[in-house]
Amino acid sequence: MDGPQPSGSAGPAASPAPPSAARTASRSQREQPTPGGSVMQTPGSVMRGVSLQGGVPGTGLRGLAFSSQPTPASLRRPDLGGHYVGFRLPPNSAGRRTSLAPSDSVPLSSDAMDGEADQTYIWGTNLSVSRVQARFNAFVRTFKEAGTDDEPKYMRLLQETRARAEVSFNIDGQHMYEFDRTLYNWAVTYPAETVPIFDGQLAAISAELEGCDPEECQVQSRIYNLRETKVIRDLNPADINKLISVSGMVTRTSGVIPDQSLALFACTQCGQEEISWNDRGKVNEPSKCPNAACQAKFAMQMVYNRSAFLDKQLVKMQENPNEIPEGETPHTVSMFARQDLVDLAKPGDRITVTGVYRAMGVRTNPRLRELKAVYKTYIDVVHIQKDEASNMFSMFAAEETQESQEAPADASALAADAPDMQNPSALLHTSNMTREEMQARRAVFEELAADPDIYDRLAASVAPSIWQLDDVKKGILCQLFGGVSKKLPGAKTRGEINVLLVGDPGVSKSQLLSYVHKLAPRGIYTSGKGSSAVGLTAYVTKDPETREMVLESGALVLSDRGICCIDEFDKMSDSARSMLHEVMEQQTISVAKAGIIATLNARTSVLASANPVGSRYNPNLSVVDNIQLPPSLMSRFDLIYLLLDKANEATDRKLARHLISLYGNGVGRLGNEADVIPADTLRDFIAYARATCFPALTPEAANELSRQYVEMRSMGMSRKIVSATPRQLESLIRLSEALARMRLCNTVSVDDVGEAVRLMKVAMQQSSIDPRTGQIDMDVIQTGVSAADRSMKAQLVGELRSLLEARAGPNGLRIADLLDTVNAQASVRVSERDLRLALAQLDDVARVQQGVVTLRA
Amino acid sequence: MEAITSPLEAVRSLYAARPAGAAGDDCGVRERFAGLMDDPAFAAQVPVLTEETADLLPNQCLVRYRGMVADMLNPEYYVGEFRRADGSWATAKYADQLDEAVPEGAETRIAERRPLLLVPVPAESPWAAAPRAAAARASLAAVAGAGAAGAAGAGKRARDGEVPAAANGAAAQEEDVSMGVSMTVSDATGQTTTADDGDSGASRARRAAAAGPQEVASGGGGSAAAPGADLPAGCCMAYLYDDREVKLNDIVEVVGVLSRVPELAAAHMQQQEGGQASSMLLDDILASHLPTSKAPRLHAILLSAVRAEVEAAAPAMPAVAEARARALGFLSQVLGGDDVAAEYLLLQLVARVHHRTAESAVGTLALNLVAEANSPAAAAQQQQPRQQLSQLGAALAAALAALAPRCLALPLSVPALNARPWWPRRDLNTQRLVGGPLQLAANTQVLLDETVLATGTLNEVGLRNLAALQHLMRAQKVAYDFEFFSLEQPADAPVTILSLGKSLLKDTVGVALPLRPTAPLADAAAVASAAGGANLAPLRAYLAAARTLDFSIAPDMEQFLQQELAGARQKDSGVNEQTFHTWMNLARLLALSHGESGLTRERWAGMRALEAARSARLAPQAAA
Repeated sequence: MDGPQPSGSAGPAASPAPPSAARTASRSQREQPTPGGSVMQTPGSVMRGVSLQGGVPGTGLRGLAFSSQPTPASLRRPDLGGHYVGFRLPPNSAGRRTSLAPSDSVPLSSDAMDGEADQTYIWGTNLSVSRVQARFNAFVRTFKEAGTDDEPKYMRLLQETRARAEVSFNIDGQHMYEFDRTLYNWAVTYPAETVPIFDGQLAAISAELEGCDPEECQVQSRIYNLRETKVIRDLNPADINKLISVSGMVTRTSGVIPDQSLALFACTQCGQEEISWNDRGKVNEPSKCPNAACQAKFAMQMVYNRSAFLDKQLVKMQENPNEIPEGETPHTVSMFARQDLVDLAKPGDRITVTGVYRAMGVRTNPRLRELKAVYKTYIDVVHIQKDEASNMFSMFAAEETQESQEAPADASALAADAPDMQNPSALLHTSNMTREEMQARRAVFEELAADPDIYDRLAASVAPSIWQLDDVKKGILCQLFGGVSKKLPGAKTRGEINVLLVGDPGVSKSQLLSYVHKLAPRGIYTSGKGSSAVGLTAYVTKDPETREMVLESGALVLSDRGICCIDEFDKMSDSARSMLHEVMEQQTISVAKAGIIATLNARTSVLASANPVGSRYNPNLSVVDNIQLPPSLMSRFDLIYLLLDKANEATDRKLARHLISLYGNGVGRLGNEADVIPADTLRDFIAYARATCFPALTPEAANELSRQYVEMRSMGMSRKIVSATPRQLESLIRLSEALARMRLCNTVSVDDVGEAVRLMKVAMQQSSIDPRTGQIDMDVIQTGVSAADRSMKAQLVGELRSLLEARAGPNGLRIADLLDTVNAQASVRVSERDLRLALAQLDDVARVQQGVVTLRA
Repeated sequence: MEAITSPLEAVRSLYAARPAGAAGDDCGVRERFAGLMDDPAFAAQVPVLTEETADLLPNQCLVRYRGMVADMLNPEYYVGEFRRADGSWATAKYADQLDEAVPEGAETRIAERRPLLLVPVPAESPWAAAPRAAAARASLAAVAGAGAAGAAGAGKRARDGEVPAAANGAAAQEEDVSMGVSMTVSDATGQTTTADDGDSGASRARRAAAAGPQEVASGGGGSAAAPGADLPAGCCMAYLYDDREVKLNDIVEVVGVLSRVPELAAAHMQQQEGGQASSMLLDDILASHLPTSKAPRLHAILLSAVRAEVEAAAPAMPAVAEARARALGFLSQVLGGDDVAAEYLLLQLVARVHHRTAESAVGTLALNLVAEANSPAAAAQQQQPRQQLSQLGAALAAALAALAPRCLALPLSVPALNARPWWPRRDLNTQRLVGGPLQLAANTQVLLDETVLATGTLNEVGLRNLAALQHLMRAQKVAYDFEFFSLEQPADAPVTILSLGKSLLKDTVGVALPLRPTAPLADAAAVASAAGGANLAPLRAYLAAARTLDFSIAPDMEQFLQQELAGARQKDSGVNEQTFHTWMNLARLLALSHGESGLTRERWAGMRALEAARSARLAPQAAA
């Protein structure tokens, strides 16, 4: 299975594709503790063991001022793991005191970027705090996105964040880089120092805007979208204590751990209180009462409800499968998520994390305090971005929006419309792709689409190792690109195209299926034989942990917006098949089990393959007789192809040449390598087309469609058979839309319609020919009985009636005898089944008992 | 000799002598040791680390080890260099513990190293493994002598705690010495350890006794198992200090510094008692720090991938013909005089993955030998216990093992399939890969004995095992299960199935061949004695050479083959693409088995003759 598994407890709401391709981290729904209101909150200001006590008066006292309730402060960032000391700071650094100037000491309107007199430096660097403040200030106050309105973006966002009473404030690293490369470099190189300064500045700015105390304006800056996103195996010691961005898949999350950030101790003897900060993961209990008068030993007791705790969670992330070189195993990295980032990522999610890479000494024996020679590495998470886009069909975000709005001309403008996303490049945002690469990708796609031979090239690129079957491949190609689903008032029409392949064993049906399954992300491959109704749809199960009933999606729901490949369709159980009726037309699945009633989206294209009854295709029977699928299901397939194994000298030679060279020197010679688009590119191209291109019918194309449709119908009219139905018309529209999509063209041309009609005729010619008349007859598909058949059956009933009346005596006639008699008379051979069916219609006059037909009295 | 008993001193002196400004580089350590190893006399003296010798080798001595890369763990950051109080830099490479205490607050440089879990090559044939085991025992002599003579350095004594009492009369006294030594080691690194730290036999026994009741008490849950209980004997954890490319399942030869850290066992004990959060943070580290009694640690200085087991010099033509005839005769004897089956089995032995396409691997074929259901061989099966190989299966396995360097024989029975996963997967708790039988080095013959299959219900594990086997047969790939996704790793293991009637896995079998023995089928003991009596070395050399031959098809041959293939399809509609694949594969293998690197008309005709014989055998079956 290629796609990420949804977590086991995926509820109805979680199963369909999330509405946006990349959700940013802040959980706006989650209520943030208001400052001063709760005990579980951001505590006072101590940063990475750098004491503030020697600093500027007013801030240095903050910790001491704490007496009754913990006071929140702006400079502490627990999510940077403030209480774990990075090894880069030698232990004696605590002795060297560094002050961070209070944010309000810098004139907010300062435009002299570096010329500030207050030269307070970040420890170990020549980086002055005031310079960072000034530059960040300028960034927030003046940054505007290229080509947008005059209001500075982050000022607006800050106001919005404050209005929503949120704490997390996302800053696009790309924006910061565009605006001020130095500032960006500082943020990446010294995150633990600069980020708290940013927070202070944000608080100060919002305080200025709202006219209140900065202490009450808690904002935490969360930088994301760094210029470089690494894979886990590329992390190296040089990244330690830097701000980094890595992508991967979450494999495990721990429970929420209360992380004590400060402890309040009270003397049991005299009531004197003492605060102890969490220092490097440890809270030191005072052994002696600090009260000079008391001095009682071991009398200090922790007061839990006046200590402060933070949520903390350990998350493990593993490399994405596509980032692992061949012959290697995936690497993992541990991460600490804190506060509102807790529980944001679930096992199975693909995420891109921005955070500070840390290394911590490991004590192999906890009794010993010395750091051993080995380090444990982890990331203190600053920002989590869920990354659905590594999966092609999730790029449907654009399409999703499109369904509610009218189709916009440019999809990138569409993504920019979403205000909360802050990420105009959400489209095509795969795990590690920069904007430039994305532009390059787009250019490649546009160039591909402009190729006049694109249709043939695409067809040649589908399963290039499979021979012939060009029209089948074209049909599958249409399925991959898909039509546009439309929402009419009160009704929805599907855009998904369903294809059925019927054919002899060994004509590479399964290969085609597995190829499509690989090409289509969210492609699910199941075998009809092995899958029960449960496997194909959603089922109810009991969560082993919570003991709650949960819905677990099956193949069809899992392939929502994808392609569900069902092999051995004919072997599927009836109950599973009946589920498909709903899926293939309404694109939903209804589940009513164990008290849970739900309708799940299953916007799935179905690609099914079936073997004929008796495993070899009998050319004397119709398709329906050959596969024996219910006609109601058959009619839901837009295209039905017959794959028959026919010997053809020319193609055999070509195949032989290919195989010989494959076994000889290792390179298969298909003869068309130059034209073949590599599978990766093809996959992305399809995703891109589906996400950005929504073709509409031109009036000419619409006219052509109706003309062709009328022609197809009238073909049948003349012979009193139906050769086209409204379902076929819908199929034709979908096919022509898919064909336009291949060219990334927003209009369906007359040529597209022509090709769609041709494709359908080819498919139908093979499958809906009435073997007796050699004509196309939609009735074969629609009802399973051709018009010729039906008239023949009517004749048979008449014949039988007269026959029975003439021949059947009081003892009746044996069926076998009757069959012989009928066959002796008739020009066409009548089967026993046909005879029995006819007899059933004669129920009013004849009765069948133990193989003997008697006339009713 | 110094380089063997105290390699770290050599490393450190090289480090001290390095040119200024060459921080973090290798300082010529690798060249130095590579130079030493080039001297065969020196190389022979370097002790070989095996399951047998692991406990006899002194700590921190230079050893050789040969094994398969079974897992590649997260890279590890460690103190690579630190500054002494006098301002000079010291290296901590190739060691777990430092001889000198790092001064408080000293400046350090962090470096990265890659842990690899090496295991003894799975399914190795006795003839390939035995000489090395002998060499390992012989190599001990040098070190043991040196160890006894030089009481010089702490930690360089041979610690004989594990030696059976018979081997050393003064076992008890030896035990005391070993304990004293381990104390000294600990002190040198600034560790304070209790007496119960060692890997000495007594303390281990004590620990086992203590762990016993605890395991029972916790109800035998997965986490209660002793750490590293799943590891095969004789494995080791090797650390790689450079960027050399190593792949999973490579067979590698390592020269490095052996290291034991007794405290690790205690850390694992602690871990099991700890809560969830602490365990999740530490389990990565612990995954690569297994108790050294289970997996000794090896700091690799030199590492090279082993490609061929036998010197594969292409033998001269008459030798090939003779070796081929002898190999055929040997196999035919095993198969009860069935020459056609012997030919096909020989082709299996020279098969390898030539190259891969998107869907399949070219160059290997899954062979299905079908024993007649009512033959005496089949009748004998009824009394066989289901978990084991059948008589014929054991005989075939013995024959394959006598010729191929590696042979894995698996009974394909319902209980065996259901018992445990055969595919490799990563364990959630230990963060390590749990191998499973299908984690194989390249060029391993796989024999599946389906004759022991009886009716029964396959559970989920069983079904997945079957699917994994089919995938191996079809694409020569094994999907490794990494919790949230599976990752396919290439394999190169020709599969032979022995079955009664058509195989259960018939979909993926390339060639099915009913056996027609003219003589009674051999049993394992007979095969073993035949193999022992004959000089099979030339045969093995011939097979190894044939297997590694390059292969190509000349242009004029291509024309002929096109004619042949297209013509065959015109004549017989039963011939399809699959048949083409089979024929091309067989023809290629047949040419290789004759020591030829190109296809000739003669071999093509030979292949068609073989195929004709095979279809003749299949025909009556189809009719029946």
